[in-house]
Amino acid sequence: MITGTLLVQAIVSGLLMGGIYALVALSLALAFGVLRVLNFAHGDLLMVGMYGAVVLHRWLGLHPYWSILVLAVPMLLLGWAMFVGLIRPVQQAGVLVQAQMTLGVSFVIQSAALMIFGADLLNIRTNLEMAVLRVEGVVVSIPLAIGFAVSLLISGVLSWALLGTDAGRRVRATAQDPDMARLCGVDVERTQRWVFALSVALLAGVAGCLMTFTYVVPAAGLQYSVLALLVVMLGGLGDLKGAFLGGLLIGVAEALAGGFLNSAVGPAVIYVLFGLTLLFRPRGLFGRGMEA
Amino acid sequence: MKGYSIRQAIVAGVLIWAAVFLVPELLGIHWGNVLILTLLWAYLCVAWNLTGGMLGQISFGHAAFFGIGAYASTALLIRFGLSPWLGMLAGGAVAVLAAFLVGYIPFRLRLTHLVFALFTMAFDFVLLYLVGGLPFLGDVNGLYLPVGTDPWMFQFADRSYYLYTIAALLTLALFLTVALSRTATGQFWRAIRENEEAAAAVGINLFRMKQAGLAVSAFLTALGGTFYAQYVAFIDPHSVFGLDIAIKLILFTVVGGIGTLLGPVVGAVVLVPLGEVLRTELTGGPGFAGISGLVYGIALIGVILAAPHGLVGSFTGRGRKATVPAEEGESSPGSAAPEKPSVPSGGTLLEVAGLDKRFGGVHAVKDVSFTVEAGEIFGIIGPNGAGKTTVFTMLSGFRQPNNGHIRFLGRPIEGLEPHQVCRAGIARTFQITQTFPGFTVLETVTTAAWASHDRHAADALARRLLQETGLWPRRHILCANLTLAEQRRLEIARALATQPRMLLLDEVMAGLTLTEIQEVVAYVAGLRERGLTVVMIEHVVRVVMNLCQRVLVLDAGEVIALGTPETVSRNPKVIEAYLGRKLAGSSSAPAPAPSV
Repeated sequence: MITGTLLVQAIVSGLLMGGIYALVALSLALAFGVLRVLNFAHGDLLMVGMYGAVVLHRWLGLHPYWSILVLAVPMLLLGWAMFVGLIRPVQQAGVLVQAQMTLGVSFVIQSAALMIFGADLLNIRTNLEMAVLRVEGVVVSIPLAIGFAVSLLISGVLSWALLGTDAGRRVRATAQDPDMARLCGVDVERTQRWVFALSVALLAGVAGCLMTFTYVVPAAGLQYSVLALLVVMLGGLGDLKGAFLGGLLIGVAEALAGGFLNSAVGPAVIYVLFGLTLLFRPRGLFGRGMEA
Repeated sequence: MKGYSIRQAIVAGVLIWAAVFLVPELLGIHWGNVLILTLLWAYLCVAWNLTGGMLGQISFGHAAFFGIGAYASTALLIRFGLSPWLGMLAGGAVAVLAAFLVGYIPFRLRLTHLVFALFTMAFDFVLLYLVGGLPFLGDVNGLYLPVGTDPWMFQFADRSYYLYTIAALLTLALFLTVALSRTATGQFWRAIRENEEAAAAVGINLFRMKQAGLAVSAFLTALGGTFYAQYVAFIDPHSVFGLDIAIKLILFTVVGGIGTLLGPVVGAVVLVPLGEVLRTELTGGPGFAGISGLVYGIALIGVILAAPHGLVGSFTGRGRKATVPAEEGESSPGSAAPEKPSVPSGGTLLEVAGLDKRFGGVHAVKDVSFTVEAGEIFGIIGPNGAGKTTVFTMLSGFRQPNNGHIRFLGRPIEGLEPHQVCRAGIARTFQITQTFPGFTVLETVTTAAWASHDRHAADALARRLLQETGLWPRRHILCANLTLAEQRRLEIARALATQPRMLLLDEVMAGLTLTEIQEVVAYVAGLRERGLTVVMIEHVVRVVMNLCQRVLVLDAGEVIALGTPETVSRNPKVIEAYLGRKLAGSSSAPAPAPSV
């Protein structure tokens, strides 16, 4: 039965989850905007962060929120190495070759996770896990709300950096037109390297937040990759605001589909939405993205 | 014109059947089963390669067609007792319909390769979840197939018959690929892969060709799905619609060599048994469960970095090198191809009225009208950004005008697609040359001729045009290796191969040396003698003055002058557009032809 409260509940939970998706998508969109590389391993890199949080918790008893700070640097280095070793050599080879390359990376990460951690669900028990806030009959999960806030904070800092700093201007110039940026004295390769590394480092934030209330399995990586792709296409490739809004939208759509449809078919709705957007708004729902 | 090598297909077929009879004998049942899976993957990769390799449309969603084949035949078997052999064909038919559905909008709207790839992936996901919600298809729990020993029901007591079946499918798929590559359709698929714009410009119907390619590939993939369902006797949404299936198809094919005949087979034959060895032989504990995926991923990354053409491609250069045939004597210029009856000079061939084009805020072409008479050489000049090339793109159907009419031979052609405009008799060259980089010179011109002629006439025509343009000695060179001057001549030859009545030349002299320009001028003058009408955009003003009967001058999207070269060159507006107001005003010289 569709009741008002249930609807509000789905929208609230969806928005909160969507905020976290938004950050995943934002970092993917940033990398695409500046490098024109669609990273199919983005979700797998997120999964690396999630397993990292699990390991840190098991070894050091570190709370997932603290692991965000600890993981950011190794994730940055991972992104750096991936760019230098794998992305840079195929930058001229076309978007589909790069997609194949990142698919290969995805396979490697997923299999390595399976070999190291096995196929079991891993989670982190925190005192937060079940904490909820009840407002007028609507249940708000506290870790989800914190995740939403962290995601909003990181996105805010990121957009300030892009709009308000010289480095940000170099990044935006490179995204607009790499050749022109190069002529204006921007070290394009260095900018791209940093942006890719940063896009991976941002995932540490998401990973820490996710691990307070969910679990990780080796197959999660591909799911998050596909989800991030979906959001980025919805928002418009390279459109950061669009990616953020797309994240919220997918979060809500997922929650509504999960709440009101036959649960097995539910996810199909999102892909139908995705397909229709691709077809009729190839520049994204807001029409500001790049031609895919 | 050569397609894939039939010899390679025969050798591969012999090896496959040798393995079919030897492997289970020598290595036992386990390896017999591994061989079945290997051949199934090889078969699916060959099918995928028809779109991904030959047509250049990378699908991330072929699991959809695989799943359709598996589910359609299984549902028909379980609900209606239909033999899976017939169900196989039914599944293939459904897959073809699905292919038309999936391809329709991306191909119709000419969306990019990435959109197509992601869209096929979304389609696969929709089926994955949708089937999981349909009780009559067993929802997420899947369907068990009845077991028995009735060959008509695709049930074999002797498991080796499964092996024979998949080996037969693979052999057929290989020979079908060779056969297709030798038809005009196969050649057009390759042309589309190499360069869509150029393919459309020579009259190839991109939409229909892509639809056909995806449909054939989907049909074959669905047959593989039926085989899988019958062999494993159990299907559920994830085992047949899973994204990992689609990804493995890409992975095996890329590792083996995308776009080559045997690459898909080699990729599967190397990686599937390797994964199996790693999985079974090395398994000390559960820790090795993921090792095959790890190795697959590393293989893919390694091949992309070290051997971008794949295992097969790297051995044979570009995978399918143009073979240089034994020297054929320099026979006399072919005369087999009859020219289309030329329109007597004097009649109006092309009428352009009120042509208008905006790009966002830029009004690129404003209310341009002119006519071109049959048999004339008509020049379009103007400063950079005047809208000349935009007019050409509208004449040739590559862009649609916002307003205005274009009539060719009295028939409206605005709104037609590039290949339709080409077939109506207008051929174009490109300002920035658009070659088929992996085609030889001869293949390029022959393909263009095939689009509108039967084979025999086409071959003779291609030969004649290459001799005329001086490219005949270079006919076996890949287009990517031609000099700019040669590429421009090739563009002209390719356009002429469609036997147009009107030829649109977009700055064919740009970047050429003086001698090269003189050669092209003489050739274009010769075309007119043969009754061809030429419209040319040109920056080399002396050429325009010498060659053209009439000249249209555009500036900032508007017509500022139209007339003979002499009158146009004396027109104050033209002088102003070229030299600027101040100079033009102060210049009292009677006729400063705007040549530089």
